[in-house]
Amino acid sequence: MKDEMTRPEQDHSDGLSLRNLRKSYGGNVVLHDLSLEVGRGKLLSLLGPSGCGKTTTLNLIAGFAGMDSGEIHLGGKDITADPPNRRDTAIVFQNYALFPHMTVIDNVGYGLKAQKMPGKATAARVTKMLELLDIGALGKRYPGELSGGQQQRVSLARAIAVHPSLLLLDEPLSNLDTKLRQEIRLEIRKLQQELEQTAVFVTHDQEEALVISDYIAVLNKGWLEQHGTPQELWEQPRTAYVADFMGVENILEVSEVDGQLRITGNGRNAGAVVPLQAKEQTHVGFRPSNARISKANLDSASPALVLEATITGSAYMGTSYRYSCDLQRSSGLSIQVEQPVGEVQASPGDTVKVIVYPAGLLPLVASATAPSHAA
Amino acid sequence: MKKTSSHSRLYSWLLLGPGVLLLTVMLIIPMLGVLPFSFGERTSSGFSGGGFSFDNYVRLFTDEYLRGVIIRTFVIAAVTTLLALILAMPMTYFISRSKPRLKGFLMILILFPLLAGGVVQSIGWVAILSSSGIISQWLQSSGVIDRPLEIMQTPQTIIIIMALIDLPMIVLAIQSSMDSVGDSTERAAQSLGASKFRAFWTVTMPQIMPGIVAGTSLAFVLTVNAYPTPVLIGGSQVRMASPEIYSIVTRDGDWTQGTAMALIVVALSFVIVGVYAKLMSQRFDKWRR
Amino acid sequence: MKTQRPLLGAITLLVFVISLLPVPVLIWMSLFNQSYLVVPPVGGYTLDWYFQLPMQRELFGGLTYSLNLAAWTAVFSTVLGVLAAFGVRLGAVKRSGLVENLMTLPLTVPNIVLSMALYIFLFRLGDMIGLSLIGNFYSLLAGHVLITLPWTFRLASAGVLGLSEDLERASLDLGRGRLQTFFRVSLPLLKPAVFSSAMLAFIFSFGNLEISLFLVAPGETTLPVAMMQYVETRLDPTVAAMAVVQLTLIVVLLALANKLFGFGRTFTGGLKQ
Repeated sequence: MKDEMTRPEQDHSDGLSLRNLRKSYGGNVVLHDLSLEVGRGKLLSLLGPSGCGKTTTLNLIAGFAGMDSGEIHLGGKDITADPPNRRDTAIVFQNYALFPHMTVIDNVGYGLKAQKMPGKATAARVTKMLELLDIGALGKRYPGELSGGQQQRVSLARAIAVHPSLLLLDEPLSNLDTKLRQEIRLEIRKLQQELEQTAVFVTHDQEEALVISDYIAVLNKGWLEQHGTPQELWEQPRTAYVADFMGVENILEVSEVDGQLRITGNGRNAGAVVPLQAKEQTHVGFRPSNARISKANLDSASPALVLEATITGSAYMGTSYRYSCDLQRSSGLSIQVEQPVGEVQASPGDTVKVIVYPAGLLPLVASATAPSHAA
Repeated sequence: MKKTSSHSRLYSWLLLGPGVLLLTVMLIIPMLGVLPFSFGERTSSGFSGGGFSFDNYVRLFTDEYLRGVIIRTFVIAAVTTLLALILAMPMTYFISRSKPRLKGFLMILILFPLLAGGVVQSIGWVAILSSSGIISQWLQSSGVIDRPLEIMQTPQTIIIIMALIDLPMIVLAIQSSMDSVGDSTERAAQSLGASKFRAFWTVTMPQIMPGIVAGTSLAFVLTVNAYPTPVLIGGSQVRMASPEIYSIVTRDGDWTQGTAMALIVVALSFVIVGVYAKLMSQRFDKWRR
Repeated sequence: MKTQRPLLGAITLLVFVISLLPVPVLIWMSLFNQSYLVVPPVGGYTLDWYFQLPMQRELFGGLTYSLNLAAWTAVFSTVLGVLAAFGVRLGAVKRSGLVENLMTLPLTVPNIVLSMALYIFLFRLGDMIGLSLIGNFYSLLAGHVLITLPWTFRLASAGVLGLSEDLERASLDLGRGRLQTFFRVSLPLLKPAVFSSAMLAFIFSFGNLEISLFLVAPGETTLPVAMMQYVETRLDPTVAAMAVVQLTLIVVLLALANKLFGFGRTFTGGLKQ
């Protein structure tokens, strides 16, 4: 599945370039031909569930693992063969990995010392970093005395202190509680933008990725499913996998029957006609908020998707009602509809028509891991 | 936390009873009895005849030979421990960062000499290193040397062999430390620009200090008290504490002198290891609360 | 860390090989077809020494004695260790630290000193009551159990720690008495810990020289003592063969323990349980 990956308006010569990375452990291929670009000063999120290959990718970029084939370029330089300490990258770990036997000041200054920066300059840089992350008062403390959020900041300060060409963040917020997570992710984003720090951010949290990224790359079992801006991924997910990740709750399998695309599922193919929308389409998806319940009769030539369904449950959500509906013509399939308060409502047991207008219909193709995928 | 009823308290003491009894009767009482025994005056049968005298202890300081044995024992133990530590470090690092299956295999391999016992190992080394041993014959027959190899019964040889024998102990102690510290801080250090060695030395080492101290203390004490290796490899030229104590008792029949020497050696070990552990802790463990 | 570490691996391998060198050497030597050490062996190789071992009175006697001693040591040491581990678990939490320190006390005293102390104590005790308490199997057994107890206790404690109280409570709920619960529920679950305790106690007892030094009777020695005495006068294929027998026994026991109870995994975490 070749993707339109280069952004013509970007200058990539200074950023990160992953070219055809392939990695396997034993007989297991963990990364298939991954290629990505991150422009200078941009933040790319690697998004996916555990096992999708995002941490492996990070390790390859950092230099802690070697790939089977492929190249990594950073700032115009080929760093494929470089050991971790020679790459101009710095990592923020999920568990912070602060040096417990050193003070905050020594932690933050560690990289500078390792790179032989003279004492005075180191001290100055460290002070600046501590101020930047608002932890100036914690300088003489030890990591064991700090809260999770504070440790997080020290970890960040330590990584940024060496002014890396590339900042790598490995699910840095996973160990924090929700409120902190939301606060700190915005701070990280703000900091990253201020410093124009090129960054790769690994996460399994779709909301996090949407909020802080310039670009998102969704990974699935070592394949790159889709790559684009948050808007693109949210509004136009391309595969069933990505759509599912982006919270598209209704994803129905379709297949061609007598020249028309119909909803299938459970092997039955007597479902509603789907307006044909894309080549090799295997599913159609729509968000509950883009579906509407209607009791009126529709013009049969309407361009919308019309599903006949039976309400099986309803829940009041404040500004809307959420309905679970069983599709009549494809038994066993059910969908969710969010009907705003004020529009026509229904009760469990009612037979209704569920309408999805073209704007809300998402044509979805097979995931990269599906057998039909051609490399 | 279980609520302890008086019922289960009773059971608990019943269960602990035999073990505690054995320890008390077979360990605590005898050990307590040895101290006064060592102050006793020697009777014609060699055993303690009661009485009280510091002679046995004084002799350990005044008698040149005995004093020499003690000092030699501790010096050799110190050097051996250091050597064993140096040899153990790369090995432990390698094992600790290995994949689980290889790791388990290597651990059993490393444990094997320990379980085989010092006697078997020492016998093997004699066969290798003695003047009529394998290496000696091989070097002579290939013309490298023209006389039998004389490296047995020297302090250097004892140190090297005992370092090899102590090795598993230290590896075990340090390895568990290394495993619990993990490699994330080391990786962090590397990603910040530190070379592998620098990362290990400045970041991992300080964190595994407790393991290092524990391992070296253990190795030190084991070496001080070693018997088969000093006997078989040191022989009469390099006398160490345990063989000397044994021969004082069995050959000279002087039990009181033997026990006095044994107790002094034990006491000295305790003091040395205690001071060592304290110093190391002060230096390296400030950040642990 | 999956990157290449050739230098480190090479050093490790070298040290490994050197420290294990006695083993192949002893095996090789035990096959020499001559009674002294000449390399390469002029008479070729033979297995005769192994077959003649039963006729070597001192060594073979030592072997049988040690096997017997180690077996009984394993039994007693394991029983005491398991009982004590349970005792700690059942009892007041306050005391457990004290008990654990007590249980590991034998480790702090050098075995040779322990051997002396026991001898003196038993000799004098025997003097007082008019019996000879030293130089027999039982005093030796006591010594061996003593030095293996810290290990069996530690392993048993780890096993007991893993026992879920819920299972025991369920059993009690269903009407089984405390004793029955112990035998039918707890003990079977403890099988791995119990067997690895026994195995370790056996191996440690079998290979230990120092504790036996003062406690053996003339004519009835353990194998390590017998081997030391033998080697004082000569080093020949016979004693090498016996050493190999000892090593083989250990390997077999380890392999068995690993197969049955994943013994090796106990040690991948180091001995600090």
